[in-house]
Amino acid sequence: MIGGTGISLGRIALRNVTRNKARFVMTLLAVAVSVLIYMTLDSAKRSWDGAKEVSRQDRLVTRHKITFVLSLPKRYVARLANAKRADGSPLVESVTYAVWFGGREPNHEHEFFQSLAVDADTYFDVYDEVTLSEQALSDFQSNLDAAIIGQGLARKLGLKVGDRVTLESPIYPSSSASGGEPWSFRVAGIYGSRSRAVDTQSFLFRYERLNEALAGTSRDQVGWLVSRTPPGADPQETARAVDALYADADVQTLTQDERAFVSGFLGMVSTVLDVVTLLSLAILVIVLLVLANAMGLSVRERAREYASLKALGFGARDVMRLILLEGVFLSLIGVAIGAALSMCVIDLGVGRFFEENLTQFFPVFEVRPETLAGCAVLSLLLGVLAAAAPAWSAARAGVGVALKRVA
Amino acid sequence: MIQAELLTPKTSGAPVDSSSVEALVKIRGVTKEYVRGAEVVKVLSGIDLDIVGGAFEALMGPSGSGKSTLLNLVAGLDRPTHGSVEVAGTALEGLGDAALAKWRARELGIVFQTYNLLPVLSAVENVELPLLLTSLPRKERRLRAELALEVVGLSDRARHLPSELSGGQQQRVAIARAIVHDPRLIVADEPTGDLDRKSADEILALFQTLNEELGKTIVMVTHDPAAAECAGVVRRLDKGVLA
Repeated sequence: MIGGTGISLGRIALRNVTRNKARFVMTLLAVAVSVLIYMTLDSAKRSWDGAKEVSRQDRLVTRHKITFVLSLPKRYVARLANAKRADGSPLVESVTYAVWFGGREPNHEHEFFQSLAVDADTYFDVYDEVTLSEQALSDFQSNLDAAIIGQGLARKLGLKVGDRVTLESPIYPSSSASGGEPWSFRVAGIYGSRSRAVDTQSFLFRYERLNEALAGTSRDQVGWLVSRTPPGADPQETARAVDALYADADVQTLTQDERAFVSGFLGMVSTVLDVVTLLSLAILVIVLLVLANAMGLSVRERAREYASLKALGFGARDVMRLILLEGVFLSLIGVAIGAALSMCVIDLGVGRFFEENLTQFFPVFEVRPETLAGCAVLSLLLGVLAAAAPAWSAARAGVGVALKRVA
Repeated sequence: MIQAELLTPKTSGAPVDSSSVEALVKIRGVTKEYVRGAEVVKVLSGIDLDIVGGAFEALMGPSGSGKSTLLNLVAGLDRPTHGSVEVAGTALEGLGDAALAKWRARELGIVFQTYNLLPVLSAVENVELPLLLTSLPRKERRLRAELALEVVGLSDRARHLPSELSGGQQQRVAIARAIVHDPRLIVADEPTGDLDRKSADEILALFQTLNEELGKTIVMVTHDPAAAECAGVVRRLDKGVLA
């Protein structure tokens, strides 16, 4: 029941926190759930920031100047590959290209993954973090129906080397684009990655396979170019030089390094995230009010106890300290439960899902020490703020008046 | 016989010859008024009172006569509108709130009608409470609290919460709390008001023992004539004036 020797204001405050069990549990639940929401959003923001960190600056992405959706002529690839700097050195070290296929696997309609038609000869030179066996690469380069898939995707779709996969694409329907034939592929290899900048959820197949099935103006078009800058070259300067190559062409380009490209994309969505963060802050304000209400009720109920303490010789500051401690304990316990809940939900569930499925944007989705530290500070602030008004009121109340009022 | 090595034994209490002993409590020209809206209510009027050290005095009077108000003034829980209150040589009106609280912690023991124990603390922890305001080490505090509980005959209930004690036992814990820091003055506001006759008699006997064996000065407000009989001096208040 009562353990240890000696008491202190802290121990009294701690016992006061749990006196009204129903109020205690409800308050903790409100705080814990809000902390879960707050930490999930904060972790998402930090993960997005992390995505920028792992993105490479020596890799340039060149797309249609107007929009990413519009394609570029395939001839641009050769032009860029052969472009020289003023000193005669190559403008870029290597170039590849890709087309967004938008494929879905009919048996796994709800599984989202990136499917790209790529150049088998150059793609893995530009993305040299990708790990792939020589045999798989050779197979991919030699066979039109070969596909290379990421480890994460293979796990998700339950695929292994040699399996056949049929994809459906709303952009390139099989009835028209493939001449009525289904987009059927054979898994030639499964790739891994040495870097979180490259996700392992992609489905890659030969550009020629797509291009040969297309007709008219759709043919010989690519979605975007990806190039590597030579060692020591300034990425921004190189990007400007790449765009200058096509400045007089019928289709102008916009080139960014991968980090800027990811930042730009994240920037658009992070505005939404900022709005959600504001909402989460609003939730925290509500939690503050919930805590303040709980503290206000508790302090009001214990007016006689505080008056008694003062009658015994405790000062207004002691009473204030006791109530503030109670507020901080209540908040700390709630935030600690919320943080533990968040770590379970994020580190063991949501975070892993985002890491596996949206690696490029959420490379490391986890509860970080900064988030935990932020929550610890937040809990102290919430506790103090919630208890401040009741503490001030109890500290100022006259002893005789308070004893008389409730006696 | 009280065994209280840590509580200072004093000279025997009531009856005290007020002509030969200096007053511990000196009240001069005290008036207390409360403002209720536009109305000014005079609760005490021109009170002059001396209570000598070691006395056991009872304040009696009908409801609303100002007994508790006068007791609150003696205890430094309230301030007079006019006049002065001096206890053990300290003029209370000259003390700020913080200094007054320190003075109470040092010089005063208080017993309430409704005990006012903290429900989250055990009996011994409640008794230890006033010692938090001293510089005594933790073990010493606990030792003194256990001794005070022994004085009131509740050693075997030291670990019990107030909710696990009877009214009489809770009041005895409250008395132990009032004496644990060895104050010279104990004020009690209707200490038997919530108790049955048997428990009330036990509490009154305890007060008498504290007064006679430990020399504590006790000022007790009561409605109970039997309680008043235990006191050496009985004073009567009527409409804010001492009879």
